[in-house]
Amino acid sequence: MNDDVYGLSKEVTVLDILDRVLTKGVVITGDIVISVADIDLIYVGLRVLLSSVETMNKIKTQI
Amino acid sequence: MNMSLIIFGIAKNSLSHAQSSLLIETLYKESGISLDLFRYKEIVFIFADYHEANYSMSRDDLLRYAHVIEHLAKSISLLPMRYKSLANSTDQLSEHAEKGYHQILTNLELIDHKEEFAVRVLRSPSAADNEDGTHIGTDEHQLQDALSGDSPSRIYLRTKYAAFKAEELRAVYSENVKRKFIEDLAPISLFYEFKKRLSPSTVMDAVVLVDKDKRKALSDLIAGMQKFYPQHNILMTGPWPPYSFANIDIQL
Repeated sequence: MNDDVYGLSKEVTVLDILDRVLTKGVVITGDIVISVADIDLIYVGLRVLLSSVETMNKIKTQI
Repeated sequence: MNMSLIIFGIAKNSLSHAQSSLLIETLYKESGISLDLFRYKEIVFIFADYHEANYSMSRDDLLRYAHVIEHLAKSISLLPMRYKSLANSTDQLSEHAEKGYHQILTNLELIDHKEEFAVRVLRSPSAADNEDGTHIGTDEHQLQDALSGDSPSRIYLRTKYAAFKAEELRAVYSENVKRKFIEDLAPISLFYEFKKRLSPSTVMDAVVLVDKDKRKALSDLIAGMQKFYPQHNILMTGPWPPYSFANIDIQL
C-alpha cells in the first residue's frame, strides 16, 4: 500500500468511527435532562444537542 | 437507582458472573470507566454513570466511547448503541427492554458471532476521467446534432447534459460493481448494505456482516477485487462492532 492510500485509509477509518457512533447503532429515546456546562438541557436528539453545545460554546466565547 | 446512564451496548444475558466481572475489570483498567450491567430476561444492557464517565461532545470523547464498544465487541456479541444513548434510571432501561425486547433479540441473533466490515471502491484521482470506460468530460459526439452552437444557452445546455450523462454512466458502472460484489460475497455472507448517495470519487460504499471465522475469506475476496479493478483503490476497514446492523429505535 503506498503512502497516499495509507494516509487515506487512516483518515477514512477515523471518519468511519465517528460516522458509526453518531449515526448508527441502537437508539433509545426517552425524556432525560442532562447538564452540559452547568446548563440543563432536555435531551431530545443528538443533532439538537450538538447544535446546543456549539451554540453554547459560541455564547461562552462571546461573554 | 436514579441517575443519568450512558449505554454502550446490549448483549445476550449469557455471561456468567465471573466472565462479566472480568470484562468490567479489564475495561476499567483500560479506559477508567466503571461499567455496570442491567439484566432483563435474556438480554443485558451495559452502561456507565453518565456524569462519572464525563463525556462531552468532543471528537476525543466520541472516540473514547467507540473504544469501549470496540473492546466489548471483541469479547461478546454486542449490539452497539449510538453515542449519547441515555436513560435516567435502570427502571427506564427496563421499560426500553420490555418495549424493544423481541426486536433486540432478533438483532442479537443476526449479529451473533459476526463482525462488520466496510468496503469502499474509490476512483483514483489521477485517472478520474477515463478509468472505468465512462467518459466524464463533455461527450461532444452525442451532443453535436441537438446542442450545437456557441450561444451561451447552448453551451450551458451542453455542460448540463454532459454532467448528467457522466452521472448516469457513473451510476450504471457502480451498479455493475455492486452486482459483482454481491455475487462474489454470496458464499461468505448474505448480509450487506450499500450507501445510496455516493460522491463522484466513490464507486461503491458497502458494509457487510461476516461471521468471525470468515474474516480471511473476505480479505481474499477484497484482494481479488483489487486485482480485478486495478484502476480503483479498494479500502476495507474493520472489524467493526455491528453498528450498521443494529438499526433499532426504541421510543418510550
